Amino acid sequence: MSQADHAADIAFSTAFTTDKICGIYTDTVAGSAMTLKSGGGIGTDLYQKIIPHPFTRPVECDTIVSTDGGATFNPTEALTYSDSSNIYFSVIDNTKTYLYKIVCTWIDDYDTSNPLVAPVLQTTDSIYFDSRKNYRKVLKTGVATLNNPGAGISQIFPVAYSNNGLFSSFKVYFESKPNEVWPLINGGAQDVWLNDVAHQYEMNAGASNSQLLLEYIGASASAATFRAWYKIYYEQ
Amino acid sequence: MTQYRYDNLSFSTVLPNYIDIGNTSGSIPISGSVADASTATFSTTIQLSADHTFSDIYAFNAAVSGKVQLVSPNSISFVYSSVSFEVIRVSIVYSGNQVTVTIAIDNDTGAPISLTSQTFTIEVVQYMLPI
Repeated sequence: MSQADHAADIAFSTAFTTDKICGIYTDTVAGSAMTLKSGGGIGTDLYQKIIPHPFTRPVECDTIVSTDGGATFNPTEALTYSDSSNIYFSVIDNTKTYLYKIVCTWIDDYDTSNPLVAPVLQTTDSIYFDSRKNYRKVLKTGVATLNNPGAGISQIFPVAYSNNGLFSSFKVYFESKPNEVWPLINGGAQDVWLNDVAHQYEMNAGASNSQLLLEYIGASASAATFRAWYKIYYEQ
Repeated sequence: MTQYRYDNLSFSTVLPNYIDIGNTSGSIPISGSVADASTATFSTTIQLSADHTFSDIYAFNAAVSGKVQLVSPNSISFVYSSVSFEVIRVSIVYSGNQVTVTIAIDNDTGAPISLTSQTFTIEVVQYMLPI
């Protein structure tokens, strides 16, 4: 019997990889104080809070956000992407005030620099580990380098995995534009996060119990290739 | 502040990690007919374990043997069994410790349609930070 067969029942084991959280940013910002990133009349106008980061390369960003001071949270109100210098907390409605928490996760081997960096945790709490808790465990992680399938044409890239026949949960981030790492966005004309219509790739992700499927669509002037990073988790 | 080469780092007890706080789920059965130029909506409200958690939401459809992460209105089309050229949209609204997932099906095909009967299991994977 291996640990992997019962990963979900194990609270903690150094045998399993976890997300490498390197940054946590929490703040409140008024939409009226955010910077306009024009969609050029075709794409969506985004309003952004641009947050410099010290990581020297892009990171994966998860966001939770509240527009009522913390009474309710709705992750669909905002999206955060990053490049080598900044984190871009983005919204489409600049009439609201946003309370946000952004969690940045390291991308292993994004390039060959292997930089020495200090985490940005913005907290005085020094207790991060409790062996009674059940940490999210990564079953498989990797990167796919994908070619432009052409404007409006979709292709699927499969990633095989084995989780005892269970459907795993997963996270996928990708280079929607060169040197920018985005969470999944898709929907074409209905995609509210499509700001640069001519250049941005879109990506959707689904899974069977043996494959993660990355479905991606190119734009008229998308880069020739782009990368997508995936993490597949042990299912509970 | 201590510096790290994260590429070399494995698990660290002095850095935060996401904590699983359990999955929860609901279901959305789809059936019936939709008149032309009309929209049919189906929804479920799912209780969460705590307020203000991170969560990833998936739709699973046994009829097509797959699940998809719901990240935008048309994500769910990946696992929807269509009958014609109807458009399916999904919305997610969090309120306190509940999340409501609503599926809307727009019929602009020019004629009434009878939807393919199918049931979506909506799975919410919840996780949080210790800080």
